[in-house]
Amino acid sequence: MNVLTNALAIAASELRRNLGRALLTALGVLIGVGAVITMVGIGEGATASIEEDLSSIGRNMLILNPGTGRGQLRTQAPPFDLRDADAIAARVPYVELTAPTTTVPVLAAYGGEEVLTKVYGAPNAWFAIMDRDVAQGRLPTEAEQRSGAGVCVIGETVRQSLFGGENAVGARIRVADTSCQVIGVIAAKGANTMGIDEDDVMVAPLTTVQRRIVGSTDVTGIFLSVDAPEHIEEAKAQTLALMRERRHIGPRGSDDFSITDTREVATMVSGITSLLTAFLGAVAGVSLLVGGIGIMNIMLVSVTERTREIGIRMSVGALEGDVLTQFLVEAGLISTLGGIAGVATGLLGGFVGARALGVIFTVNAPVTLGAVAFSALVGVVFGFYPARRAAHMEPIDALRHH
Amino acid sequence: MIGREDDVVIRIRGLRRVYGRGDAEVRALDGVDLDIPRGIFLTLMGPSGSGKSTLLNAIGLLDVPTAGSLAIEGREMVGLSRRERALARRERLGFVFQGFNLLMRSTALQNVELPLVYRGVGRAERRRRSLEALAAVGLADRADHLPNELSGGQQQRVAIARAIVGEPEILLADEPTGNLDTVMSHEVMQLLRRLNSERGITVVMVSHEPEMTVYTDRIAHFRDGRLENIETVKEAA
Ligand SMILES: Nc1ncnc2c1ncn2[C@@H]1O[C@H](COP(=O)(O)OP(=O)(O)OP(=O)(O)O)[C@@H](O)[C@H]1O
Ligand SMILES: [Mg+2]
Repeated sequence: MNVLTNALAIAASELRRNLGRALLTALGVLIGVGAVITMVGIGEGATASIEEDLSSIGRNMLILNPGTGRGQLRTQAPPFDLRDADAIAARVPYVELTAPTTTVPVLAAYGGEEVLTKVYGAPNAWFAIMDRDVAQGRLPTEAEQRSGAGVCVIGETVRQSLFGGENAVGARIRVADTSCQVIGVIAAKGANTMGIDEDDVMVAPLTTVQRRIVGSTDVTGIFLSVDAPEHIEEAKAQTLALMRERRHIGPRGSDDFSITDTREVATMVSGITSLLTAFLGAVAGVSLLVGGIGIMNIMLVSVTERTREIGIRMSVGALEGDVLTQFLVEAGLISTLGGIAGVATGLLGGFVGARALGVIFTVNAPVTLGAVAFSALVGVVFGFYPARRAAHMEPIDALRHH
Repeated sequence: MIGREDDVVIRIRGLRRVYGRGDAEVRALDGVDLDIPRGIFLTLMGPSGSGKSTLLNAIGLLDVPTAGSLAIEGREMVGLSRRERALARRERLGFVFQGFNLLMRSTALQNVELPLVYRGVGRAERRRRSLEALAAVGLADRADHLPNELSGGQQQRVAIARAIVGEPEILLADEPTGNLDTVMSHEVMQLLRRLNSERGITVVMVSHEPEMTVYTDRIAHFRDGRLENIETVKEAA
C-alpha cells in the first residue's frame, strides 16, 4: 500500500513536470474515449427517437404503390382501382382496414396566401391506419364520402401557412382548380424519422379528389393495417400473391408494384445509425490502439531518461515489483487522464451532435465509467512492456547510465 | 575500532569478474580472497582499472561475479536470484557514491526517506527516523532543501544519511570524497569514521587519496584485479 501510494505520488509529480507531453500522449486515448461517449450518447438517442416514431405510427401498416424502385428510378406501371382494395379486404385474412388513396401535389390558396402541399383522396380508414385524428372540426361524413363533397381536412402546417392565427374550420379554400370547405384540422405530428413534415398535407374524400382534381378513378396507393405485428409478413406475402394474380403477372414476371412495410423504413434508419455507430466504434478502437502505442512509446522514453533514477531506487531497496508498479501506475494515470478528458469531450460532442441531428442525447453512466476504466487498462497494458524493461535492469547498469 | 579477526562479515574466495570475450576479455577481478572483519573501516586502493569498483559492486550485490564465492554473514550470495539479491541488499547494505546519486527533484528528507518507503515503513515513523539520520550527519536544518540548494559536502552527507537510515550492517562507499574539495572531504571522512566507531557499521571504501586513509583501519591494495597486500593504518584519527 505504502509502495502504491508512493508510486502514485511519484507518477503525479512526473505528470506535473511533463504535463504537455503527457497530454499529447493521452490524445489518442482522449479521441478514442470521446468517440465512444459521443457514439453511445447519440446512438441511444437516435434509437429512442426511432422507437418513438415507430410507436407513433401506431398500426402495423403496409402501403401498396404501383411501380417499383425509389425516386427517379421508379418504374411506371398501371395504377390500382377500388376493386383491388376490396379484393384485399375480402381475401387477405389479417388485414383489418384498407384505405385506397390517390395523391397529388396541389396549390392551396386562401385570401392572399398560397401554399404548395399534397392532397390525399382517402376514406376515413386512412386516419385510423395512420393513427391520426382531427384536433378541431370533424372528418367527412359517409354521405360526403360517397357524393364526393367539396370538403377537406388540413394539416397543421397548411393551416399555419394559410390562416396564421385565424380560425380555419368553416373557411372555403381554393385547391388546384376547385374549392373545398375546411371541416377539420389534423392534430399535429411533426417531422418523421426521415425528416418529412407529416403536417404538410390535406385530406379530402377519395371521390372528391378523383373527380374534381385528378379526373380519373385511379388509385395510386392502398394503405392497409394488419391486426398484429407477427402477421405482417404473412399478410404482405398474401397481398403480393393476390395483386400479382389481379395484375396478371406470370410466375416468372417481376412485380410492377411495391409493398412498403413501415418497419422497413425504420430498419433502414436504424441501419444508418448502426453504420454510424460502427464507424465511430472503429475510430474509437483505432484511437485507443494508437493512444496505447503512444503511451508505450513515451514510457520507453521516460524509462530511458530515468534509468539512473531507477538504479538509485534499486540501490536503496526497491524491488523489481516496486519499479514495475511505479511505471505501470504512471502509464495508467496518463491514460486515465486522457480517458477523463475524453469523457468531457465526448459529452460535449454528443450534446452538440445530438442537437444537430435533432435526437435526444442520453448520458449512459455505466458506459462512461467503463470507458474511463478501459482507458486506465489501455495504459496499464501498453505500459507493461516499458515498465518491465525498467524493472529488469541490472542495478549497476542502471547506475552507470548517463 | 578494529573488529575481531574471527568475526568475519564478508568472506570472499576466488572471486572473478570477467567482462567481454575472446580478445576483448577483461578480467576486472582475477581471483580475489579477502576476509572483512565486523566493524572494520577498510579502504580499497589501487591504480585506475585495478578492479576496486568492481569488487565493491560485487559486495553490494549490484553486480554478479563470474565465478568464486562471496558470503555475507555466512550466507552465500553468488548464484542468488535477482529478488533474493535485492532483498539482501535492502536488509544489510547501504551505499555512498562518488556522484552522490540523489534524486534531484526530491528534498533532502524525501531522499533519506526512500529506503524506508521500500521497506514499507509508515509515514510518521519514516519521517522521524529520517530526521534522526539527517541530524546524525548534521543536516537537520536542511531537511526541506533540494539537492541543488546544498553544497557538494552537504549532498554527500544527505547521501550518507540515506545510506544509514535503514540501519545497515555494511556501508559501501565508492570514492565518496572524489567530487569534494579538501575541507569537505575531511568532514565526510570524519562522519564516516564516527558512524563506523559509534554504530559499529562495517565500512568498505574505495579511495585514491592517501590522506583520507588515516580515518580508516586498513588498506587493501589492488593491482590488475588481484589483491596485492593489506596494510594496517598506523595512526588512527
Ligand atoms: N561494464 C564494463 N564492461 C567492460 N569492462 C568493464 C566494465 N566495468 C569495468 N570494466 C573494466 O574492468 C576493469 C576494472 O574496472 P573498475 O571500474 O573496477 O576499476 P577501478 O579500480 O574502480 O578504477 P577507477 O579507479 O578508475 O575507478 C577496468 O579495466 C574496466 O575497464
Ligand atoms: Mg572505480
